[in-house]
Amino acid sequence: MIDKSQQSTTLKVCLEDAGTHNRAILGFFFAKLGQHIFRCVDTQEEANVLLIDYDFPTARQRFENDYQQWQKPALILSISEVSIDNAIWLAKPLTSRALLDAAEVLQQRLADSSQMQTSANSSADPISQQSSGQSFITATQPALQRPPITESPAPTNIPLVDKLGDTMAIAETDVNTQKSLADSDPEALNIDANEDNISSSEIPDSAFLKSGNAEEIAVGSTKRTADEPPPLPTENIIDEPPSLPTESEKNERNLLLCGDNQDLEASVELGDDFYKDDSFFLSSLKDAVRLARQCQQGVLLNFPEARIYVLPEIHRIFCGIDIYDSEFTELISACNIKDGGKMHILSTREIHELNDMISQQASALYDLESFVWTSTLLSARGSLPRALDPKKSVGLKHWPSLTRLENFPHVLPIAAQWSASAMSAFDIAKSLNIPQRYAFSFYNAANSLGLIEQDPDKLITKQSVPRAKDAPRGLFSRLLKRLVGG
Amino acid sequence: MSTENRKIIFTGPVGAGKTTAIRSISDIDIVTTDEQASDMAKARKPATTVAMDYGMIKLGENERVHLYGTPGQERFNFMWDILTEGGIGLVLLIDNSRKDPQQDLKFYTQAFHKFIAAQQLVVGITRMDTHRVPNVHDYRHWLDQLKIKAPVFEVDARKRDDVSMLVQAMLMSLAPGAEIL
Repeated sequence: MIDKSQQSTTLKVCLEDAGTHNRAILGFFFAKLGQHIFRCVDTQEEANVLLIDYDFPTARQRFENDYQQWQKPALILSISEVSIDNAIWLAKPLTSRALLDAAEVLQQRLADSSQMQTSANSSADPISQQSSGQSFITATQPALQRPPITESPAPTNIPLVDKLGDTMAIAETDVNTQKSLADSDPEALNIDANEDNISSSEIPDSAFLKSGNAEEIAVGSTKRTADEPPPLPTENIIDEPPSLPTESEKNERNLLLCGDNQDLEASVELGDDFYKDDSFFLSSLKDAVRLARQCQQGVLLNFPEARIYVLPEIHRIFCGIDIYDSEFTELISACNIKDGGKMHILSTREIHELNDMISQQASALYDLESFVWTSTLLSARGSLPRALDPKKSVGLKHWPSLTRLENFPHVLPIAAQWSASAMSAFDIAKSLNIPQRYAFSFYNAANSLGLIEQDPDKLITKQSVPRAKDAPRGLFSRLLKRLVGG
Repeated sequence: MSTENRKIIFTGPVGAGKTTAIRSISDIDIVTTDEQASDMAKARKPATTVAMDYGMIKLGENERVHLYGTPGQERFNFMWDILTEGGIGLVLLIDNSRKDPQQDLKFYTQAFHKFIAAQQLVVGITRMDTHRVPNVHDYRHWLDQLKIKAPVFEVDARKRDDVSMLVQAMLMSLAPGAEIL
């Protein structure tokens, strides 16, 4: 039982170790329902309770390296279970009830701690030192301190399906429904579902689906315990698949991906017939990816022919139709708004169904970028949407991960050229002496992945020192030939 | 007749796949100096590279591209400057299953920052098949924070095509527009 003095202990928390959207939601909670219990402070030093979003990049590291030794009680928000002394784990999606219950426990602990300090008058206690305003951050680590060689913790099962029963169910609701729910009812606090635009850098680095262990799903039988060393790469080099496509099959595929449009003069006026806007499938897919990334939850995109599951936490897409099959090409070109394209965040039941499907058809799980890349290419076939001007000089922010994307002719030189300097798609094709359709295809697909920077001034330039010698292009060319199998 | 020699350096933490990557593209049986691991590296693999790995790609009679793998343990870092001298580029392999891949990325890019500034870095992320987080996008973001521009690919060090693509990206970055002769 908690007496009044304990209940009145204000929990001072700092939100700097939570992602932007989670911070906004917690701020909303602290301003309303939790206003008499919580108070936001500017730094973790000022806080008497550490609030750490374990899924927010670097927050966990800061906690383990810096804050943990302060021995302050902590509230750990995470979708995966966390077991640490003096910390309370709050599972996401978070409920206001869970927060209030945790607050009660923390108030009790702080009151107990305060009583102990009074009786012991222990000035060495970090909490009492902290309250007098002293900082407990230890000396910063050397710049080149390499992290210890420790296996990352083995993924733990998270029975979130069960826990979801205690939280606000968000299944079968669209984003607008969620937002209105959150706005109207503070109890409907769902820390992972909101409409705030977040940068992808803030995507929680969690490896789990809402109702289970995503790594378990992704790797199946490769799951291991923390004590067990990771499987070593086998000494044998993996041979290439036995059935390599023939030259004509490759050409056929390239035709599907990049079309057969003839080159245009750069000076020609580009009319409406030049452009081809995203297919309904592609625009729906992009919307689903955007929604999934914003709320960091699985999203189902529903077509009569196929159900497409976007899983941002593991950076995957599940699609029952083989994307290299003609059925997929037909889906992209044929589907329209009458045929569906509705999307919603996965319900608990759907997550269970998905887990079953993945275990039965692991090959239907695609890398998210790879799926979007191929879908864009198949949708456009060498054309450009109206939003992309082939005469405008743009830059490539980052190389696509070409080892996992479907390649087409000249993709590597295009990436290198565009990465080296901002150019227009026309100029890329001209400088490399290649058909324009390949430059256009790259431009379009890279743009779908968010890799194109329309404002070249915003590009990061390499901090380089002049080379003593020019690159030996002849040697490079011969080496490239060897590497591509010549 | 003189022989033209060039070097490509493979680096990264213990167990990231440096030895395997070199083996996958080398024309010769690689020379490796693996020893029984006696320290923390043992937690990850029974044998570890203590001096360097060596492989080679032969380009005709008089041209060689030497492939050197650095030892993964930092106590051997005195060798890194020696190994990189005259190198044309750096392949950094990061093991995505380690506790803090971001710190690994930071560590190695700082350790080789002079070489990276003068030549070209490519980053290959290994073990992403079993450890999906962080993803390639996260690595791109971290490289942005370090003000480093480099291709980042998910790779399986055992797959020749993956390692080959990494090296091709390095060469193309050094000489955009280079033709395949």
